[in-house]
Amino acid sequence: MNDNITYLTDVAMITCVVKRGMSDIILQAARDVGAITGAVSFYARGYGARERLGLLGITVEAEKEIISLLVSLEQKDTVFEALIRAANLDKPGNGYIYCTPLEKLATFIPQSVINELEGNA
Amino acid sequence: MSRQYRFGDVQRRSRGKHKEYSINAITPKLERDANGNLIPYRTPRFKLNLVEVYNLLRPYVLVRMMEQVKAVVPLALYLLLFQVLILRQLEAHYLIITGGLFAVIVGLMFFMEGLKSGLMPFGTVIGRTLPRNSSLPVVLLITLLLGIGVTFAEPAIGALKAVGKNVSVEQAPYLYTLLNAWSDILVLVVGASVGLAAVLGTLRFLYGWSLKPMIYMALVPVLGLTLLAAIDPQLQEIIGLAWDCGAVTTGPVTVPLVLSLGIGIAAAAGKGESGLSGFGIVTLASLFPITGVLLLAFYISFTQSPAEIIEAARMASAAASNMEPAWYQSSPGEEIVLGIRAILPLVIFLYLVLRFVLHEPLKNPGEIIYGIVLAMIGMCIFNLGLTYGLSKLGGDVGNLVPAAFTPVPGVEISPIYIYSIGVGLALLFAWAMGFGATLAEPALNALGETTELLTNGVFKKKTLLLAVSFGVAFGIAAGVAKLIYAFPLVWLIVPGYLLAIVLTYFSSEEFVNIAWDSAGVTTGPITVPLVLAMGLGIGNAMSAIEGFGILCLASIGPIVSVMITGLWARYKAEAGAKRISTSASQKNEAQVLI
Repeated sequence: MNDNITYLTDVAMITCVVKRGMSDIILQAARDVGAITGAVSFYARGYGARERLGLLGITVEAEKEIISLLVSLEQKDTVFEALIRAANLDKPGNGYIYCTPLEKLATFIPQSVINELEGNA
Repeated sequence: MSRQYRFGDVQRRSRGKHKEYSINAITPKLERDANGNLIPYRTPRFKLNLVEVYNLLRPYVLVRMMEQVKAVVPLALYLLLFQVLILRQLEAHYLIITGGLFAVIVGLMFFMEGLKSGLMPFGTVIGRTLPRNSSLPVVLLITLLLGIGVTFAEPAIGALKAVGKNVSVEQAPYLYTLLNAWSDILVLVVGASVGLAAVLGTLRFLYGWSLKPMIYMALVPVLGLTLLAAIDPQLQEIIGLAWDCGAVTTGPVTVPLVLSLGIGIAAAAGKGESGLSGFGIVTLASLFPITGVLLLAFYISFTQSPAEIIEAARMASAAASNMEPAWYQSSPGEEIVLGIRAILPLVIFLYLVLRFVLHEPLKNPGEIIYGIVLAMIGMCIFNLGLTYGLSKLGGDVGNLVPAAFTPVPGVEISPIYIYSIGVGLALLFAWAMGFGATLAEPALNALGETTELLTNGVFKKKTLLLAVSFGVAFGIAAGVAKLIYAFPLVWLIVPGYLLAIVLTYFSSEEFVNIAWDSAGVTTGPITVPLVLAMGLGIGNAMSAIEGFGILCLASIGPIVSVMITGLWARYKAEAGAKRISTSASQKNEAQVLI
């Protein structure tokens, strides 16, 4: 293994909790505003709103999908807002989104990208 | 002098405004009682205004409605266009039919949602806990009873009763009495057969039996009884009905409920979910009712003579014409009573099992009651739609189709085309309808995905969809041809199933499971009434005695087509492997030579 480990900094994680099956819409919206890294999604069950709505709770799907994607700090707000709009999160029953700063990130980085980074520095 | 800004700050400024609030402001403030202990916090209900409620309800209703619209509207449009463009006729009561189809859409939407939130939770809990808490005989008994309950709750079963009224008692006395005086017993027999199939299917999961011998053993009595009935001129007319019953039973209630129990039992026995668990019950559930119905017909033929039945029917109709029918016997009332009678026994049975066998509390009772009420309302609306929409539409089309090639009373310019072209058009119409309706069936999509997984991608989902659709299409076309040329159903069924047996012998276990199950999933609550009514309509117009049999031919079609496709895929894979190995050995020889 290479002695030098490359860290990436200025990373933020955006996590979306939405109805199951929404991941395609979310990912397309993220790509449209230049979120180039991939994303992971988990299946989960949601609790809370269903119980507090009484009978109306049946309209809120308990089956959720959690999509988490890593973006740069510069993109963070653009992507965040794009996802809110794409998933209609200002309407009830559609889920929520949050953003967390990350200290660092490490993964495989192609040599060409590293050269580019070296050139900028 | 230059200034520096963070790019992110610039972007933030240039986008839409937003407000920020601290969430601290809305988190509850905990209070303490006199002793300084925290009082447990009780979460209050949300209060929503009307716009917010609308925003919640709109997507909920829209998604579920569109599912049914997608299933009903293309098929209805196809039938309508065929009537207008090819037959150049438009039935007069299309307004009623449109209303009826709308009722089908709304009814199925309610019913499916009610099924999901009211009945499925029972199925999951019972499937998971029953096999752990009770002995095998008790579990199997409950499985048997469940089979009967779900059959009564199956929406397509109502279609059988609806078409029974149109059968002529003089021409087919036994068929008439089965569908009228004996109709409840008929459904009971079908239900018991489904229950028995569920029991055997469950035992199969448990002990890992192969499906092949079970198919052979189930087919021997079925084919034997069919041949026996074919000899008797009075019982001949029953065969079509008996075979169609097999196709009608495996619908949206039976399959998931019975499967959840069967898989639960297998999982509790530590058999886990092997890829094939879950298959087989559908197959047996579509074969056993045939035997059951044929046996019932034989029983009736031993106890009652045709003359007695005709006499009884005449008396009944005379009595009915004298008396004003009670509210529950005339149209809207009858459908509502039927709807409630379909769901309620199943629900009570499931609840009793949960309460007194499992001693489990009911989780979310509000939601479950909502689901049950929804399922009942849905069933009632669907039954109305069945009478005024699907059955009428199917009957109308069926009546008109023969007008393409033969004079039909009531159609002015019939025959519309010369005989050969007319027959060709009618068959093409039936073929395309079967193909399109099957391709759109959502249950088939799910089976396609399982198949692709099971065969490690050898058998693609698309291949299965096409194979099944072709099978159903040719089956329905064959059924229509049977009505047009009026040859006995036995001639098609017996060779068809014999071919299926031969193919079963040569196919691998996976394909046998997939092929025989694919026959059951294709016949949903929309295609069944439509095809049944269409068959009877064609039968009427051709003055045939009965119009059953199309559905069962639509079942044998995919069995044969899927197994042939499977064998062909295996042959190609083996041939490909051989080619690679020979070319590899040639290369080796070449290297040796060098």
